[in-house]
Formats: sequence, structure tokens, C-alpha cells
Amino acid sequence: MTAGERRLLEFLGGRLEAMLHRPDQWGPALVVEQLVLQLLEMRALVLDPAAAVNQKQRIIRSFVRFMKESVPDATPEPLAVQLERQGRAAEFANILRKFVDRELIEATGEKLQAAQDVDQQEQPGDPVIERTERLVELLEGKVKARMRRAAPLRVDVVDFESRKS
Amino acid sequence: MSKTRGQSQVEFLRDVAADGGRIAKAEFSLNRDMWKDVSPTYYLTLDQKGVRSHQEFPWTPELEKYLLQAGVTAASPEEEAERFATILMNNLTRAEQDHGKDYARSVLVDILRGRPEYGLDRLLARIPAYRPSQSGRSFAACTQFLTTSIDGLQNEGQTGLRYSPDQARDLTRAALEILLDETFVISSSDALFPRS
Repeated sequence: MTAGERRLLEFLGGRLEAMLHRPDQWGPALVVEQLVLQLLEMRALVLDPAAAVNQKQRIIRSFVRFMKESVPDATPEPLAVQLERQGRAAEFANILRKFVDRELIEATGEKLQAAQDVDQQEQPGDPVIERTERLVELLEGKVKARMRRAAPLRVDVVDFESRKS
Repeated sequence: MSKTRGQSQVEFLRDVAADGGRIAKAEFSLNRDMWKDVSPTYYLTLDQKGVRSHQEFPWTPELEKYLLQAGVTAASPEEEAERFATILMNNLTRAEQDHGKDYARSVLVDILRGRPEYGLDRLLARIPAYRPSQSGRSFAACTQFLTTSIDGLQNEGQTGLRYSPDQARDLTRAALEILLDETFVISSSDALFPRS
């Protein structure tokens, strides 16, 4: 994975986290939902360029499946619209986060499984091996991000209040 | 409970001072790199009873507070500006933790748009930040915190580090330029995607 790709993945991960953390600052729920799905598509594109053509459909299909499981009487409409209609708009961020978490884990797991099925004699530089390396790096980043979320280190402020003239 | 890196740094420098030693020279670098996060570092020359040693200290808030309190200035205006920028970056990170990354950044831009004395128009024009929502307590708290950080730093430049008012303002302006450049990846974007 190049430094640029790594930086892009960090950006996408950070942006996803920011949107799920404070979705109301990014616009109406319907907009946030679309943005999050686009970020997931971009992330999938960086991780696995070869599969990019089908990524959008895969993620949308996965999202529809997820809604069927998570929303009673689900319809083929955006999650935000359905929750609004059911008077559950406050649950939007939590439900969307569950999908993102599941998507990250499932998508990564599938690709790792595919990589494991490859002949052991693959040479370095093989696209599958490179993809596996990307995924391992990503998982490491994901674990670190979870640790940060669980126990964020508070930055110590350089405070000037006490030294004002 | 184990000591933090900053506590150990300060303890070491206090011991040096208690033994009659002093900081003979303080060099500083943000170690900016297009592909990596900055790694702000102090390179201190210590004079201990006539024996000089050169030591490297990764920047920490505790170390910075100690050096400010001791009135230690950096070796050059450029290094001082990078040091000031590091302090502002640190405090911006705290604001991001407290109020959300994008919100804190939009508040920062909002504050600086109201400070023409710093002459940051060219950089501010490059930043696609929305006006922050002003309802709720976050806006007031975040604005006050960041304003105090900027004004307090400039004030500290005069009172603690004994720069003239003009020098302190110029250093703060240079630091804000670095802060905006690093935070909004302006130079790196220009290098990667040159504008015709």
C-alpha cells in the first residue's frame, strides 16, 4: 500500500467516524446516509480496485439486506425516510453505525477468506497478496481506532489563562 | 502510576537546573513532511557546569509549559513560529476532541475570518469550510477556547518570551499560517495537484 493510499484510507475512515459521531452537523439524515454509502464505496475502491465495478451494487445490496434485518416492515427506501416515518429518527446514527461496522468487518473478512484460498506459491507482488497486505494494515488501523474510541487520550492543553497579563 | 513522557522531561530539566545547569540553546522543528504527520521536536543544548550536551526532546504540552514558564525562546523566528504553531495545533486537537473535528475546524476558520490583522485571506480563501452552527453551547465554548489559545499565545510571546508587540503578532501570524496549511493540507495539495 502506498503512502498516498494509506493517507486516503485514513481520511475516509476519519470522515466516516466524524459523520457517525455527529451526523446532524453534516446535514439531514438522508444526505448523511448517502454520504456514508459513498465513503464506503470509495474505501472499497481503494482496498480492491479490481472489484471496483461491482462495489456500489454490493454495498447497496448489503445495505438493503441490513435494513430488512434491522427495521420492522422495511421497504426499499432510504433508512432515514423509514425511521422518520416510524418515529424512530433518533435511532438513525446508531443503526447506521451498526451497518458501517458490520460492512467493514464483513467486507474485510470476505476478502481475507478469498486471499487465503489462493495457492500458497503466489509470488510477492501478486495482486491478491498485495490486497491481503492492504487488509491487514487496515485491520490494524481499525483496532487502533476502536481503542482510541474506547479510551480516548485527552490532549493536555497549553493553557494561557493563568498567565494573562 | 507511571510518569508521562512530558513529566519525565520536565523532571529531568528541573534536576539540571537544580544542579546549576541551564538551557544554553533551544532549537525547534516541526519536521514537516508531505506524507507524514508532523513530529515536533526540541533540540536542547544543555550547559551543565561548563559541559555542553545536545539532547532531543519530542514535544509535549508539559515540556512546552515548562519552557514557557522559564522564558526559553527558540533559536530563530522561523523556529519560534513552528513552535507557536505546535501549541496551536495541540490546542486545536483538544477542541476537536471536545467538539468534533470538523466543527472545531470550522470555528477556527470563523474566528480567523474575523481577524484581518493576521492577513490570512489568501489561505482562508482556499478552505472550503462551512460557517459553524451558532446554536447551542458548543459554539460559545469552542470559540472562547480557541480565541484564548490564539490571544493567550500572542500575549505569552510578549510577556513571557519578551518579544515586542510587533514580533509577537508576526510570530502568531506565521504560526497561524502553518496551522492552516497543516490542518487543511494546502501546500501538500498544491504539490500533488498543481493548479494551472
